[in-house]
Amino acid sequence: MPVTYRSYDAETGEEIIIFIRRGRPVGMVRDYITKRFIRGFNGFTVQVALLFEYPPTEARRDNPLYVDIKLSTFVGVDEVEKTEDIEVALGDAARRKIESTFGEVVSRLAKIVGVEHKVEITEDVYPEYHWYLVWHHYKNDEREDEGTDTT
Amino acid sequence: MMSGRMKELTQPETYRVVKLDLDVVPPDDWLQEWIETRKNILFFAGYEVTKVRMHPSQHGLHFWFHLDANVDYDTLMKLQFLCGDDHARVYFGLQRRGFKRFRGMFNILFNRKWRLDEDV
Repeated sequence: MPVTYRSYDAETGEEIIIFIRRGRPVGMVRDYITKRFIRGFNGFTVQVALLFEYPPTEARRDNPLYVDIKLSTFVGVDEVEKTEDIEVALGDAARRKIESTFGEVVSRLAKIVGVEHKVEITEDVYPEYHWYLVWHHYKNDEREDEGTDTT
Repeated sequence: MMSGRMKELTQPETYRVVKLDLDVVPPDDWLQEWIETRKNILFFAGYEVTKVRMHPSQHGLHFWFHLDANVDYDTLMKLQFLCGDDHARVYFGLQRRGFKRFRGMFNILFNRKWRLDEDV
């Protein structure tokens, strides 16, 4: 049975594969060395993260800022072909969230967007997603927030 | 069944996988020696490695060293540093020490990464 989708679990490093059996997509976590199946799954969590850093050594006007944001949504095996579009949509949503919280400049200067796949069940099924936002100003003033939204 | 999000919020903050980002692909014999010396470093710190997973990354290789025991966030960050993790990852891990609820979520080895000034 040909593998139609291949990725890996960002938490464990195990291989994620999806293949068609009897006309239906089947998801399996597989040991990529022995090729032995570890467990099946109905879908996986796609997470997109964005980081902004303006450290005290570079900040002007005493306004340093550190921000991490992660958006997380569940994608079923039957929708796996949409994964890349979903990742882009989550990346855009992450930038919008940063913009609404910290302004356009911070959103524009955010350094990295990255994607993780994890075989775990989360409540928020695409197009719903859950966001996690953490930030501080290098003054022991850490803040953490979360919420649910729709792309 | 408890959802992933509920698990993140209700379970004690412990971790069992040391994640390492190596931004170079060394020759095979160097790589095997590098893996064995990472195991030795973790053994010296009091942990046995139960399995190792590796995948190619944009610039090199990503590694997952599974431990035989759970560790807290600070210990995980220190182990990753001692094992020679990418220094930017170590730096950002230190910036997150003050967070309590979600800091472990950002110990990330990306499946894919892009910069915002490139096409996405």
